[in-house]
Amino acid sequence: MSILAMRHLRVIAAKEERESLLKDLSRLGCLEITEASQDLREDLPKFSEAQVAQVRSRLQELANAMAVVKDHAKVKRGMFAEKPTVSEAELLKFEAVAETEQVAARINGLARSLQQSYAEEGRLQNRKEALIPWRELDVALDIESGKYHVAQFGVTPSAKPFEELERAVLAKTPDAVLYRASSDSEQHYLFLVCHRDDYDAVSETLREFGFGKTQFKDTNGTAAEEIGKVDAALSNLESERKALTHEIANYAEMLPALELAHDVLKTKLEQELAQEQMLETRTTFLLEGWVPQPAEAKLVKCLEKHGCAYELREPTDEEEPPILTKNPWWAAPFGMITDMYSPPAYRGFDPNPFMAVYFSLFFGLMFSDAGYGLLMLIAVAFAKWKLKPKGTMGKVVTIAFFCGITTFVWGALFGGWFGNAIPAVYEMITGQVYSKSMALWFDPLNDPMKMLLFSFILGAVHIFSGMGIKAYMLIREGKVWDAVFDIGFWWVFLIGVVLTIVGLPGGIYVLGAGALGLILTQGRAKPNLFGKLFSGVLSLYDVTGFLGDILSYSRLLALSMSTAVIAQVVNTMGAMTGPIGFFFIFLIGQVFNIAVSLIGTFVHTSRLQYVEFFGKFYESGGENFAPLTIQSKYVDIIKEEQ
Amino acid sequence: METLFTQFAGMGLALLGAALAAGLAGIGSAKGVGIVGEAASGLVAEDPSKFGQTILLQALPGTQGLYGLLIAFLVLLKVGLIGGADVVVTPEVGAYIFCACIPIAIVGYFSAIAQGRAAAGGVNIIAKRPEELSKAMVYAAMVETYAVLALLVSFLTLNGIQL
Repeated sequence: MSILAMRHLRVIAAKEERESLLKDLSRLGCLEITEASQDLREDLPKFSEAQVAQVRSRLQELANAMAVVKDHAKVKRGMFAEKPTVSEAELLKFEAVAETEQVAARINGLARSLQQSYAEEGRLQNRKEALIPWRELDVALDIESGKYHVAQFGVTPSAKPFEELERAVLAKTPDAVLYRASSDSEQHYLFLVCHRDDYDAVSETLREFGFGKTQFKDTNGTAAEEIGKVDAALSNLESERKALTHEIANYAEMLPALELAHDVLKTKLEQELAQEQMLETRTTFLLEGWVPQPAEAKLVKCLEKHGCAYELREPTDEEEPPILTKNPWWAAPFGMITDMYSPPAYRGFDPNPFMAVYFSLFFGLMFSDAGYGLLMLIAVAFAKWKLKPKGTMGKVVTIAFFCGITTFVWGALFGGWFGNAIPAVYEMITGQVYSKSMALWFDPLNDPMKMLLFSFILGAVHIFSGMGIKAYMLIREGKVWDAVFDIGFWWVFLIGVVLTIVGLPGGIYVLGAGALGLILTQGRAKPNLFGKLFSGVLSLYDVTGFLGDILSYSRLLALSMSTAVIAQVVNTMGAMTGPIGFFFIFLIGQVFNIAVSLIGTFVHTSRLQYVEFFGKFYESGGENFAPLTIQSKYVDIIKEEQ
Repeated sequence: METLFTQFAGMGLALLGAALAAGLAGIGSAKGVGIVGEAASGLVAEDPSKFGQTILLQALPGTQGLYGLLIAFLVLLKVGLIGGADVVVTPEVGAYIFCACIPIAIVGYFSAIAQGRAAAGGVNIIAKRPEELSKAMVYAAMVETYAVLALLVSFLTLNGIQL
């Protein structure tokens, strides 16, 4: 129910203790190491043995190898496969990963060969394509001109027919011979043999036709022979690649080891990053950080075990310690939704218990379908049973559990079971109108005004509790009068407004009293009497803000209605087509409605929290507590008792 | 005018309203969803793993079309084209129903496009800070508020019309 108090820690220890101390700190997971204070940084050099870049590149190697194995080995892993469990000690054996890293290097080597093979294939394909037009020509491509004759390959644009060119050449130099290997839509591929004395005349004619010389490199033999060689090389490459792929696939069983090594190095990386923040002398190092007060005792024990000198103190007013909230199991997961906005400021208020209540309440109200609620609960039960979710996934499942319950309850109250599926089926089968109401309370579609009013009342409660939190925060800071003036009078005034609208006789007096209080107090920061009164009167204008906030809760009606009516559209359409059509349309349509309504519901529920609720009191801007811990993305850790 | 009314009759007006509600709001949503899709394609071309997040944003401007459909459906129910209720739609009632459809038709059209722009902007957020998806969604949701209000007015008006 609260933001934990943080204590600032400064530690000096001998360098030979560094490795074992950091490992123990990772185990404890209760110290966030931060940059050392400014004054110390001026006097002491940065710790010089941090190897962040080196560990990063080792991690990259491992990640590459994992990707390669997954690409080629078709690793079969069930969607719900459990992660292997590993002890903490195992994850802190930094030296033990060397062997796995060698395997990774081998895998990456194979992958590189594979890539080279693809590059080579591309090169050969290009060569083959260049040779194909010359295939019909029975002349060795490396033929050389002699003392008396010139032999030359070349191309001309195929815009002019070959015969024209041949005629032009023969007209001038009847002894020249011009062969055509082939033509395509762009070029004629030609081979010319002529006497050396004729060459100038021939090439002049050829130039007029846009002749360009072609030279072949590294060839010996005719084009057809060369193509044969290329084909052989290509099939060689193919079998080589097959062997390589096969070899990589054989490493499939190494994947768990690679993943474990990745987690181990990731843990090491965290430590290296922490070391970057430390300072050093010749034989000692210095680190500073934040520790949550409840964890202080066990941290101190650990520090003493390593013979460290340490100093613990309260944060100063200028410092912004990191945020760690402590909440019961039902509220803690909703911190995720708070964090999407921003974690609270250190000296602010932890809204998560309120978030838990209001978020699930409004979510259920907007999604409001007993059938969908049941589906959510079944999904939650399935996830709990099969996935055993932890971390973020575990939080999502808990949130879904509460939202599923509220969705079910509101749905039953409003009579939505997959929309109007039950009446629709009844009518389809019997042909009679199903006249009983499904709703335990009332059906918002039949009585929207009641629902609208109910939405506004919930909105008012929501906003009033936001203001209540603000009042609590003010009182906590010792500003009791501010709480009375800024919150209390507004409450009186707003309650007066409501009473007047409802038509209760005393309402106008309550309203008047509230207004008077506001006029007298809201301008209290202004220097002169006129300013005070003027600001006071002007502050009443804020009532429009409250009005806007309350009206915003009409989305509770709109979205619950939207869920219900889309489901109704689906059911009605299905019922028109008979039982078989109904089955399919119902299935597809309801899935569609769930998907669309889930997004809408999530977005609008969040908005009500972020804009209307948080707007009243929330102080954001904290950074979440990020202690040095053991990283585990691919494995589950077995905790050891200290 | 009189001839127009008698010829066109109540049913025609009511159906015109339903057509506009579903049609205009639908066009708006189509445009809005299209705008986000274009923006998202650019990002996904660079980083295909962002597909899931962008698809969430792209879905947001789609709701206006659904709101329009919803009102159109309620109109069809009301005039007895669906469900087969036996009602006579007088020209006045037809005109009332037509009016009831206007808010969601017009606001749905424009807000869907505006929301599409906001969500397309949100694609930039995802490009640089994928963890801030929810903020991008809230920006887009701010726009939708007005479509929700229009839906409410359309719905309440339609609900209040006595046949």
